Amino acid sequence: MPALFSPPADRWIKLSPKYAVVRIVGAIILNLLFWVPVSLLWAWVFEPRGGALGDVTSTLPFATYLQWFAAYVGIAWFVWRVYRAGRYARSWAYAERGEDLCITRGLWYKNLTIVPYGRLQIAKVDAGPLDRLLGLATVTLVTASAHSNASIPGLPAAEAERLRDRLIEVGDTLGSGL
Amino acid sequence: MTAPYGQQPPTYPAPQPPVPYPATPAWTPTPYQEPQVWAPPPQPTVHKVEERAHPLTPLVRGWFAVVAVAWAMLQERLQGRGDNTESIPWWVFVAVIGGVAALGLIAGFISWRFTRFIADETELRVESGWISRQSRRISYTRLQSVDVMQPLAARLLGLAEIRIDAGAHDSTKLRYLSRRRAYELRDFLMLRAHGAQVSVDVARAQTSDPLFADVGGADRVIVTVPPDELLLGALVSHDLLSLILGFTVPVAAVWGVATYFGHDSAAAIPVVALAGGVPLLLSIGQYFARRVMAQFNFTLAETQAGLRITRGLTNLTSQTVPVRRIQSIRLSQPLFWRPLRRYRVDLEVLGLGEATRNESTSKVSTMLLPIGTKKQVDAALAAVWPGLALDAIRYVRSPRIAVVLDPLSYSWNSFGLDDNVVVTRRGWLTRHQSIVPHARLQSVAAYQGPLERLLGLANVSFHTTGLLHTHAVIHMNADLARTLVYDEADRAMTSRDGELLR
Repeated sequence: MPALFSPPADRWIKLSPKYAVVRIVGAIILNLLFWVPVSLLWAWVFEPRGGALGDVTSTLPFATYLQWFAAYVGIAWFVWRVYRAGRYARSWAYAERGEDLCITRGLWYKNLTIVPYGRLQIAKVDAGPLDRLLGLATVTLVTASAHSNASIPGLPAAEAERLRDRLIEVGDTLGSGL
Repeated sequence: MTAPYGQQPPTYPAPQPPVPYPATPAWTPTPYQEPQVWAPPPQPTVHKVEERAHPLTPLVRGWFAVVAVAWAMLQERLQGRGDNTESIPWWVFVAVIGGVAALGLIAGFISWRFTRFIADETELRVESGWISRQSRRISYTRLQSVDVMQPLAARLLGLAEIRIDAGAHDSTKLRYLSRRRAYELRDFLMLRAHGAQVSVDVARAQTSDPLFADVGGADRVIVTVPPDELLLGALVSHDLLSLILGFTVPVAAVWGVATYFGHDSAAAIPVVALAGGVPLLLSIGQYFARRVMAQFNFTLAETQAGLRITRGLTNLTSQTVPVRRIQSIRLSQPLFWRPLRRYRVDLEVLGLGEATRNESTSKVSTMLLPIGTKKQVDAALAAVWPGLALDAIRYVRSPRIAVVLDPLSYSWNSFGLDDNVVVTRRGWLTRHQSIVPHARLQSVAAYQGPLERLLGLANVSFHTTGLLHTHAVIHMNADLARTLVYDEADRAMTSRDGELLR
């Protein structure tokens, strides 16, 4: 009996290794936009003297460490994301199996989504600025269900277009109504 | 080529051959020939139906504004009397209400004047707007459901609103038509939605005009829910319990703290009873009244055009659901309903965008049955999917180790399969049982968290078009989950719901 997330056919088709770069850049941007302001605000609130809480903070244990607590958490989380980016990108894969497309993703929380070609309503390709720089694209499969949430990021642009065209072609022949 | 209202296109008379030009110069005019009149075929002909809303519409639309303003003014006046300030003279009061009423009537009249409903061969059009004109077109083949709503104000004047759902957009409302006309139009639209080629006249002949139940002569009543059942359901619901606890727990906590700190709490009992008890009783009364009034005379009937749900005491709601549009069904059983062996049935229909799960409103809801015994539930299910054999399905439970993750729902979490449907069970406070036909599945997913991986468990969820529920088997054997998820994807493509619908 193969394990739950082992490939359905002969093998999984992996994403481009460049997708790890996209993840890392994404983590950097998120850090700048979210964690840096949060850390600064936290540092101001918990400043031992003259902060928003006044002298109260200096009576708390680890007063000096507390001031930069949010920054430490942010840095730790950032390092963790960068460290895992390569593995996360490798965890994401897809495979075509008979009349459906299987997509798997995730390291801790693993997910395997199967979309029958006949249920496909839209197959679309998007590429953000960073994706375009690296020659990548995301293929998204839209069904009539909002829960399906089936997309494959980080595919080489040519492969993404080939996949989209193939999906539409197969979807047309197998299509069944609602 | 469009057929006039669904009949085969009549053969038009052949064009008259031109009168041959006389060769002789002595031209004598041929006597004028009456052009041959085309005789319509003997079937009832249907032309384009074009009409306005009922002329009393502005009254219904305006009354709400009048009541709101009157209420605000009355409050102002009553409060003004308390202090020493000059209160508003009564004529201002009357003038403002009169002005609002007049404005409302004028606005209502303008909107009525410029709104027309046009039913032609292939689509329904609603044209409205004075300054910017709108034209909404709904193709009959795209209709999802047609509901007739009668709010109290409209009902008193014998009017009704038609609400048409087509796709995921908000519903199109035709308001207001006379009640009889609304039922006729509803029946016509639903028959057309089912592909029947009927004329307005045929639909009219089938329509009855009942005041309370909206059940015609040809309809078969499946379940009616009597008021005592509704009261029972309201009495043992979680809503009532949370209402009571929400009031009593804070009061008891404050009282306990006060006693602990040595205050004389016995003296506070009347105050607490008055301050806490009266609002509590009022809100319980309101809860019962709203719920029973919204569900009053709940009737599920099978009509030619689909299932019809009629309910309501003051506001009458009549929903018609085409059976083929039903995507999934869910039975639920709150904790206290278990000893009573009562169930509630909800359904998911594509395009019921605004539907609620709330029991206490007259809005379009997902309810197929608010409360019913096993027998009634079976009757309702048989009306939806006659081929469904729910009792013959064997359920597969989670392995024993899953007790660690769900100590309370372990014995209920399970799934079952047959050729037509997949059934999933989960939940402990309210036990849910979802029935999804394979043919209605959009996609399937398996997922597994770190703890579940350690225990060799996994979850499988089935995605349908509905947004209200998720259908999932939780904490099942991981190897079995792999088989289930791949086989289910295959079944989704090979299965057809012909057997279910028969």
